[in-house]
Order: sequence, then C-alpha cells, then structure tokens
Amino acid sequence: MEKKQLLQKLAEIVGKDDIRTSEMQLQEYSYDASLIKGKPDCIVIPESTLEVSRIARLAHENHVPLIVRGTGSSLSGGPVPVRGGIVLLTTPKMNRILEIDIPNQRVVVEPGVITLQLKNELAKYGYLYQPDPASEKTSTMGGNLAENSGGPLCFKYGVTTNHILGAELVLADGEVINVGGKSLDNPGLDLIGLVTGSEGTLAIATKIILRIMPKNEGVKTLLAIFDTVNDGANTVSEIVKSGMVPSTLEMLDNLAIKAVETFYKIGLPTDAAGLLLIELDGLNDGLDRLAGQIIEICKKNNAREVSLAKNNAERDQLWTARKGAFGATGRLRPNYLVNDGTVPRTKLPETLRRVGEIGKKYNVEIANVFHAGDGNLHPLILFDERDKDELARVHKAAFEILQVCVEVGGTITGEHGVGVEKLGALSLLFSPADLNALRKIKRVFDPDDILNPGKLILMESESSERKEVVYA
Amino acid sequence: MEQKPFFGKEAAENIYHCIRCGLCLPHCPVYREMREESAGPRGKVQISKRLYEGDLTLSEEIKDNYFSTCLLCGSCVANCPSGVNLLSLLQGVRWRGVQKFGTSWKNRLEFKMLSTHWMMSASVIMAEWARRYFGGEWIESKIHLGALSVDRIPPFSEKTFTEMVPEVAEPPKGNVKAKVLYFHGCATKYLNVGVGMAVVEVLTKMGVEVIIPKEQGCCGLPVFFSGERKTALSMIRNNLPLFARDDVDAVIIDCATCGSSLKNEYIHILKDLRELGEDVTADEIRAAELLSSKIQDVSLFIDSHRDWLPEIKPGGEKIRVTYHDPCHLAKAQGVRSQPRNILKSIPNVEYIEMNGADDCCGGGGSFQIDYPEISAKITKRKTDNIEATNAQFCATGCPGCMLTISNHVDPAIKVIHTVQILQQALKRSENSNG
Repeated sequence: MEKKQLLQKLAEIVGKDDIRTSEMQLQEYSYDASLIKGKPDCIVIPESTLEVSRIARLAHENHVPLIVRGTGSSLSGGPVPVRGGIVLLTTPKMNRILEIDIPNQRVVVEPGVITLQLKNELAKYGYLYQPDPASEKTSTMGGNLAENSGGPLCFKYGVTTNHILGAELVLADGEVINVGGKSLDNPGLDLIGLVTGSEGTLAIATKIILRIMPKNEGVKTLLAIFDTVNDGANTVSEIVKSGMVPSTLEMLDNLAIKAVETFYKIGLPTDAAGLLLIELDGLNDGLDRLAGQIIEICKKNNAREVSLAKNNAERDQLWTARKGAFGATGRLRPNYLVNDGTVPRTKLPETLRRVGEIGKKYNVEIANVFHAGDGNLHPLILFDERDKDELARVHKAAFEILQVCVEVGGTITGEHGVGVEKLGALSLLFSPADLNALRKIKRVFDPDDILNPGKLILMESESSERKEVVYA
Repeated sequence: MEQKPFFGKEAAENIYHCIRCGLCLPHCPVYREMREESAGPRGKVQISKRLYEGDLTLSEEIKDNYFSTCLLCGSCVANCPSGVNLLSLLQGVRWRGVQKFGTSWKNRLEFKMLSTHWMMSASVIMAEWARRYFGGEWIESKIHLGALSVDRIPPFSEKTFTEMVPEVAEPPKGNVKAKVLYFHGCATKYLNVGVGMAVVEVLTKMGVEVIIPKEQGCCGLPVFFSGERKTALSMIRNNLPLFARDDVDAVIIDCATCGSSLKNEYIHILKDLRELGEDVTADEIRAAELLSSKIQDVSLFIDSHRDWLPEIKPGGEKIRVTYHDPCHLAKAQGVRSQPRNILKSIPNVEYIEMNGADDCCGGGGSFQIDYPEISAKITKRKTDNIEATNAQFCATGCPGCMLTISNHVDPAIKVIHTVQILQQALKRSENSNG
C-alpha cells in the first residue's frame, strides 16, 4: 500500500488530528536515551484498545512495522523505529489509571501512565508499586513492562515481572486477548511472564494489572564512604551473607561521585574511591539494630565514614543524586554509553578491576554506578560523539566488558534490555539452538515480524550472531 | 539559500550534552499537558541539534513550535542533570525563525512600545483614556486576551512609579548602611506602583539608600525571547550604563523575570551575538558580568540583612499566607528560601506551604494570550493548589505571576508581592507604638 493510502486508512481509525507526519515530528521520534537512531514513517496517537487493534490489523495486512512508544527513556534502542513504520504513542491519550483496588492490592493502568505518576497516586493511600527504575520520573508503565525494568529496590522486591500479574494484549494481527489476571497463580501457560520483557516484539499491552504493597513503616538510609572499591564490594558481599536483606545496595565509584557532586552539590567527598548507598525498610522495631549491624560491617571493611540520613529531606537528596547519576555524567563529557551487564555478587571486585583495565586499554573514561546488591553493573563509558576515533574505541570497550561479564558467570543485560544495542552480544550468552528457540516463539506471536522488528532477536539468523555490538 | 548559524559556540555546546534521558519531561508544564515530544524540552534540543548540523531545514512549523510550546519557565534548565540550557538554544532558533518567516504585526508593535519610552507612556495614557471614556465594559467586550479575563486585569496607574518617587530615596534617619540601585521594570512603573512604593519604603526603613535611575527601560527579555535580538540589544544598551556600576552594593530587582534577564541572559545574549559576528564589544560583555554580580532579588537582599529591619511587634490580626515560587526566581536565580524566611519572620503571619509551590503559573508573558488553552490548564493546577491552602494572601515575587494568578484564583484570595506583606507588617507595628 502506498504511504498516502496508509495514512488515509490510519486517519479513518484515529482521526487525522492524531497523526503526525511532518519532518520535525518524525525526527522527534527517531531516538531514545541510547545511541540508536531510526526514523518512523508516521506517529499515531490511539486512545483505546479498539483503535490499537485496528491499527495492528492494518499494519499486519500491509507488512508495516509497528513500534509502541512511551516517553522514549529506553537505554537500548527499544522504541527506536530502526526499520521505519508506525510509531504508536501511548502518552497523550492512553495514560489513565483505570482501577485502584486497595483491599485486594491490585491496580489496572493503561500503558502511557508514568511510573512516578502511579506511585504518587498510590502514596495517597499509603501504598506503593515497588519497582523503581532510575528513570521512573519519566518512564511509562508500558515501557517498564516491555523492558522488564529493574531499579535499586529490586534487590529486595524483584524486578517488574514480579509485580505484573496480567494484561490486555493486542496481538500482531489485531486480535485482543487477556493474559494472567488478578490472582497470583493463573491457570494455563504463563503468557504474561513471556510478554513481560519481550521489548514490544510479541504483543502490545493496552491494560496492565499490577500488584501493589503497603508502604513500609520505617526506612533507614545509610551512606558509607570507601577508599578502595574492593572494600565497598566486600562490604556488599558480607551484608548479604549475614542474612540481612536491605532494600537497596547501590554503589558509585569515584568518577560517578564527582559527576553527581558537580551537579547536586550535596557534600559527597570527591576524593573517595567509592560509596555505598544502603537502605533498610520494614517495621520500625528492629531497624535500628539492623542499621547498627550494617554500620559495623562497613567499618570492619575499612569504611572511611558511615552516616545515617537524618530525615526525609536528606534521604531524598541522596536518592535524587543517585537517580540523576547517569545524566550528571553528561557534565563530565557530552555522551555516555551504558551497558548493564550483571555478574555474581562475589565477582564484583574482579569484574570492576577488569572493567578498569579495559578502560585503560582503550583509553576511555569509565564511571561506575551500579546495583551492587544484585551484581548489576552500569559502567558508563564517557565520550564525545564528535570524536569518531574515540567512539570506535568506546564500542570495542563496551563489547569487551560484556565479554567479561559472561566469562565470570554473568549476563549481558540486567534491566535495560537487548534492544538493538546488544543484539551482537547475544551469541556470547546463547547457543544457536537457544537463539532459534527464541525465534520460534517470536514466529508464533508475530509471523511477519512487524512488532518492533530489529530488536531483541533478529529473525534473519546470521546477523544476530555477529560478534559486535550494534550502536547506530 | 545558506542558513545562517543559529548559535554561538558556547550555546551550541548544550546540544552535545543532552543525553536524551528525558528527565526534563516531567518538569515541563507544557509537556505535562500535551505529552508529545514536540511539546517538551528534549525534542527542542534534538531539533536544535539537527538544525545546527544542517540535517534539517528551519521550517515555519519549527518556528511556531518553538514559540507555542515553551513558557520560558526554565524548569528544564533547573532540572537537567547534564546541565543543558535549552533557553539559549531557543533564543537562537526563534531569532532565525523570525528573520526567515517574520513576526506578527501585534508582536512588532508590542516590542516597539516596550523599547521606546514615549510610546509606552502614550499607550498607557490612551488605554486609560479609552477605559474612562467608553467605560471598562465596552472595551472589555472588544478585547480578547487569550486565557486572561480583561475585566480582572488591574487598571494602569494614573501616575507612573517614576513620577511618584525621587531619583534618590534616603533613609529617614541615621547612617546609611548600604547604597543600592533599584531596577523596577515595566510592571512596577505602569501597573503595580504599590510594589515599588513598598520596596522603597522597606529598604529605606532598613537604612538603605535607594537610587532609582529615571531613564531605565524594559529589561528586554520579552523581546529577545521573541526573536527580536537586535531590538533587544538597544534595550540592553540603555540599561547597562545605568546599572553596571561598581560603586553600589547591589542592584535590587522586584521582578523575577527582569532579575533573571539582567542576571543571566544579558551575558548569554551578548556573548552569543558577538560570536555570531554582531557588533558587540568586549567592554559590553564585561559590563554585563559586573551587573550580573550585583543583581539581587529584593527578597534575597532583605533576607540577608534581616537584622537591619526595625523590630516587628507581635499583635494585630493573624493572616494566613502562602507563597508561589516564580519560575524566574526559583529556577533561574535559585531564590527559594529567602521570601519564605521573610514571611515566616513576621509575627502575625501564619505561613502555609502549598503543594507544587514551584510549579509554573502558566502565564509565561504573552504565552497565555497566544496559547490560552494550554495556559489555562496549567494555571488551573496552580490555583487549585493555592485555594486548597485556605490562605487569605498568596505572596509571590513576579508581576507576571501576580497578573496570571489574580486573574484566575478565587477573588477572595489577594495576590501580592512578598515585600508588600512586610511593608504592611512594619506599618502596623509602628502604629501600635502609639
């Protein structure tokens, strides 16, 4: 079908005021927070499941790629239309919280709801949706589902998939189905588990059922400063070994501390090798005792200083700084490339040492901000995209870091997804048979490869097995 | 046709520090209403990049977008972890956009008026004459000002502030503790004369000598953000020699927008124009830097010298007061605690903080006139938050916010400048002396 005809048909579905086709608009949907680029053919703003279903049918019949997008804060190229097609924008009209059921601890949301918007609404009832991706101020629930997002609190509470119980899905051919439900163990195949984290390649979620939890009575936030990264990493291992389950165990290395301090100016020591941000939550009774034990472990492992946030304002400050850490590195150098390889906790010191060596080898600066509790690294490789030679070195370094993660028994992504960025690294982890199994599943849901094509797994086998990371 | 460069090198660097994280989006009042990329800051930075690198041609759509979806509130600048300043990019694109596609005759007239003393004064006289001769109602039925209700806009003052005060106002008695220049802006001169009187009264009572240069004009911000950088240059050149003086302790400003203009924007715009080959001298840039270092919002000055204030005796009727953070004060100048400190230090004030105190009021100068629908939605959030406090007074530090909020909020709530509350308290305290 000609593009003109396609637009005509789309206009019949959503009305022409909800279609964007100008060059300015197309450019504005050609990026996310990664380095991947790709321009769509048009942007469509649906307002109901029925509209999404009709658009999917149209795309299916005409073999046009369909890419769902929230706010575009993805770090792996998830919503970037690398093969053109129709971008379905959920934020303007599919952004309602449909149901808040406090006694049963369930909510139902549309995909364009902002994560923090949901949390703020739940706070009025003293409730929480636990996962807390650093981008929660801007990320959408649809995006969280697609990427199976993590966050600092996931150490204790699990990642997004542990909080999504069901969904209304539009399939590639426009069929509308319901998977999962409000109960914890739903009959049949665990399709909601399959779709969560599928990066928009299997189906489009139009309604999402989530579990929520009451807010904890007490919170203690500790900040420990270290003169070596090893001491910090050993502290993490020892805390976990002790049987305590802090809600977060976050670590920043020297370069990350400097970046954060430059912008937020909260008095962090810029000469420290690393810091740990540790949070405990639960009933007030006993929290002080646990905090005391943690302070002891920190001191035993040579912490230079351990302090307890005195009030909510101090706590908020620390978290704002942590969650703005990626952005703050933008003050040191214009760009960064972040991988989120994950390694067993006990391998943290070794991995960090090797990451440092890779940085030296390729002469690139690397700042580390990571979820130490679950061994989820975020080495931020800093560079200036205008320097092409540096960019090439950055790509090589990034690939080697993922290699190291796999070598020590870890994996290539902890929460950001494969997207386009890590397609080339899949073969580090998966055998050809593993990859073919993924392809078979994809074919069942989307035989013509129209849902977010070019992400997660390439249907043309040879290109997924290239030994490099694809960035642009 | 070859496209002229949009930005100087320093401004262009902003483009390369945007990592597209999207953390600006939840802070942008326009994005929050529209939730499309074109409404938010990140989209504009990315379009600026493509324009600058020549991958995209400046279209009328882009020009219109840069005007219609930005309130200039600076929330994105204040909250960008990478330190990207969209405002300096915005100025460049609006400037070239206006050069390429022109500006509306209404805007041209408005800027000409703001830049010319006699035209401004004449139009004020005309407006007052018309109001009296035809009656407010008739005029109001003929004028449409976007989201603003004309019948709730306060009338122009019969006399301008400049006519009502001496050029140098001296403290009533005792030694002079400080000498300051007072930049009062157009709103105080023509509309809110009472704010200017309060500033002079409070400062002189503190023992401060206040110099009010009569030749001062518009700060230029509404003009240079509207793409008329050349006109703006003449305004900057009018103000610089009057205020860039190192023989004063401070330059006091009662208007958040004028303050951010003189403190932040003059340097930016002069540097940018000089880099782009316009006729701006290094001396002028140095003068702008000196001026910037002297600028102090009136609340900042008063709060840092609170011990100079006469004692305010307890007593009198309790009043419930809340405070609205003007974007150009809180986000552009970092003045947040000072006005609150002043209010809380007044014995008969019961201070109550509103939700979202630093959310934009939605006015954005002419934004509310040109784009009433979005503006009204943003203002509604603000007035709901104010009304929920049950305050009798909403204090703030910006005539623009005062106009917008007082136009939409429950009329029982009075919207006034922070310094006016202090002025009233000092008066009451003196009178209670007997």
